[in-house]
Amino acid sequence: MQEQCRTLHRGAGAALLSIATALLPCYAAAQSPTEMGQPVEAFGGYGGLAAIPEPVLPSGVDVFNLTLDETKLYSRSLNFEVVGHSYFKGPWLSPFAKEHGLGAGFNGVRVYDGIAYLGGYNGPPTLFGTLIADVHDPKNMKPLSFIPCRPGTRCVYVRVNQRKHILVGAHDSSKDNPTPAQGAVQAGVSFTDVSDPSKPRELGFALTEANGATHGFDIDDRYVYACATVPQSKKNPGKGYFANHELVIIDYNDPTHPVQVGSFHIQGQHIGENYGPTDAGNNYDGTPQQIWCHEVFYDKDKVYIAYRDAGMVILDVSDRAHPKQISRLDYVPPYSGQNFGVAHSSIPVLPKPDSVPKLVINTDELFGCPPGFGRVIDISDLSNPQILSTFRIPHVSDGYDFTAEQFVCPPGGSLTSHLPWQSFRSPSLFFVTWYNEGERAIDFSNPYEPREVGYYASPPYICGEYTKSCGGGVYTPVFRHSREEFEDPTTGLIYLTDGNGGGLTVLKYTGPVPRNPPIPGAR
Amino acid sequence: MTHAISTHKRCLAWAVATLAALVAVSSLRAATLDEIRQRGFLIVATQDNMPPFEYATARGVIGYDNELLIGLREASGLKIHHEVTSLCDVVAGVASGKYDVAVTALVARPGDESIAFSAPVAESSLAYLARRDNASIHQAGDLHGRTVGVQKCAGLTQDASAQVAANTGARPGNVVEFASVASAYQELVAGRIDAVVGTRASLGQIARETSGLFEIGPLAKTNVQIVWAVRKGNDALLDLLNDYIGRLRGTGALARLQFKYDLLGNGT
Repeated sequence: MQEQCRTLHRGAGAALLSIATALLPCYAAAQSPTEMGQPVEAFGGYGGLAAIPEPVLPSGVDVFNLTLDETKLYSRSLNFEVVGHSYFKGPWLSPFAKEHGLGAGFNGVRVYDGIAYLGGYNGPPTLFGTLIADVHDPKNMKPLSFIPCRPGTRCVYVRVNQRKHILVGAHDSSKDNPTPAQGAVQAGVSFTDVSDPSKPRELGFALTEANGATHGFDIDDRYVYACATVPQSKKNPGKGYFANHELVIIDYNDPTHPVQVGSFHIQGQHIGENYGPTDAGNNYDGTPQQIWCHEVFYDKDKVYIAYRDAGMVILDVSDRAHPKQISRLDYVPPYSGQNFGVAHSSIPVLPKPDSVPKLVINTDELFGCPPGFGRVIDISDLSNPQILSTFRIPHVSDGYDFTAEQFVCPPGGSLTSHLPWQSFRSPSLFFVTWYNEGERAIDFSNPYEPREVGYYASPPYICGEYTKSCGGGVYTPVFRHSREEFEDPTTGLIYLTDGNGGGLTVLKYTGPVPRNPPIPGAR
Repeated sequence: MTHAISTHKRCLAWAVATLAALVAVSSLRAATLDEIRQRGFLIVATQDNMPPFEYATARGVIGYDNELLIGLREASGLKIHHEVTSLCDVVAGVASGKYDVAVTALVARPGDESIAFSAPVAESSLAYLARRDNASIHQAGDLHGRTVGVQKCAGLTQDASAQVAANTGARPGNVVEFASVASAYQELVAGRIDAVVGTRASLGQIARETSGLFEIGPLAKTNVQIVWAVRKGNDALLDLLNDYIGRLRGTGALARLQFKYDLLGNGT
């Protein structure tokens, strides 16, 4: 290249024009938007979500110290309104967060009776524990109490048994926690009495594996369905990224003595086993498949598991001691999980609480290029799930270079879908967090043609200049880290967490609400 | 990946060097259309924060103007070198010949001595943006004696006062210029200015997308023309642009694009 350019540069005058012409491919490689030619819509049409204008901040504005009005000014929304926000700064924050002036980074959130339960997040490492807050007034949310994670762990997922007033949390080994474990890390599931949210009291703890890992989970009135490693798990499955969670079922009927009663794993995850033919091979890009339980959704004796590169797994757990696989939609490969695994959440659509779900809204969490996106899956035959359609952000995920025969993506790497949430207002309306691309409202009335009906992009809570741990770095600042949402059925307010230290935002959805549940998929 | 970054850096370094040379040459005078055709690409300058005309996204600056440029590329056979910079640099750069065309939300200023304007790519009325919770501003006349912000180099500083005065009899107490509209909005939220004046097209989008923080009101009953610009005297290039815009208007393509970007109905 240098010699080529040097030769070109020997001339003058008209030769300069030749150089510029020769360099045009360089500009094209830099993805000049004009050259890429990406037309946009206010909403991107069927299956295609909008390119949201990125708020521009004047110099000197601290995104981790905005007033509520400034939060409105530096966010962008259609059919959402910001009604409250808090960074939840306080003594519970990590030394890292305090040093850099960040707010609390959160992952999971649940809100009942005006009380929020917020699982702290570790990328960047801002909060290691569960914060409980009074959010009756979204403009004046007040911390009530803080429950630290077990030493040496992060505890990013929360669920609440409203009837029993029990907060359930998963503790996952994490070297980010500034409070290390004395001895082995106690990875597992905790049960805390939150009858008085200002005075939480731990009731019991179920160890899943010393120095082990936990991830997403769900609960019913008696059982926890958690992704976790167990003593039988391969400690290094030889797949690069170390994660080997399976499903464990814990009975917390007596929360002071929770006990594991059952488990499910995919062949190959345990010591002494070999992976089956669909899980042993690499992805088409050469990266090894990642086979691990990522998130779980429980509904009427069935669990829907996003099992990373094993795809979506549906289990019958009517016998908690012996969960049985009903089906598995293993879409990786041919889709690529790259080096982290792909399936993030599989959420059945429930027109009514007692409905038999016929559809699943499935999302990826894939940081590569192209980034992860969503799928609508028909499960009218539980034993034979079928993909009906996708929902994507074409602006970031559909750019393809036909010359190089590869996808081209914007810098950043955090452009992937994350968590879907079915609105209480309509079974056809879902909210989906999408990392840098904010929060999206999607109408699935016709499951073949998902349509975006609203979006919210928070202020750019940039973590990249501080740390690479959130996927950022000098080349790839992550503007926002929209992680999870929860809609309070009593108020209709939506609680959105940011993992970068942007705290909690309270939103009101003001857009159209689909009148009907989705029409049938398979027909 | 390493190779890609390394190649990218090398490209970037040579590109910077070459562009510096190009700028040095072209700053002496604007490139003629023949010279542009010989080089094969247009140097187009835009700003990055004037929705819906142009706005930053994860993928770069896109918007109404960007889509027009895609069509111009196809219609002219010229590639587009897209420079994103401040509005003042856009205007000064076109006047000096640093850039060939200003493609941004410029308001036509008849009689400008250094730049020439194209046929309009859109029309909009002028409007003011105020905080919704400011109960003292309900109409343009309420801006009398107030502090009003405008974007520097947008050609609105005189218009703001003149149009308010002409249509309401009121006159703003002070018109403050801001290098960027983002700074003007920040000052409005902070309460240090009372309103921001601009095109209804752009202010309307800000009002829609900021959670009810602002509301807009009409400033005048006449529309302004949103135009592109070239250096004065660069007639062949201006003819090329006008021919393109005229064809878009004639086929209805311009109106369809305006509809898509909510640019219809922004007049009075």
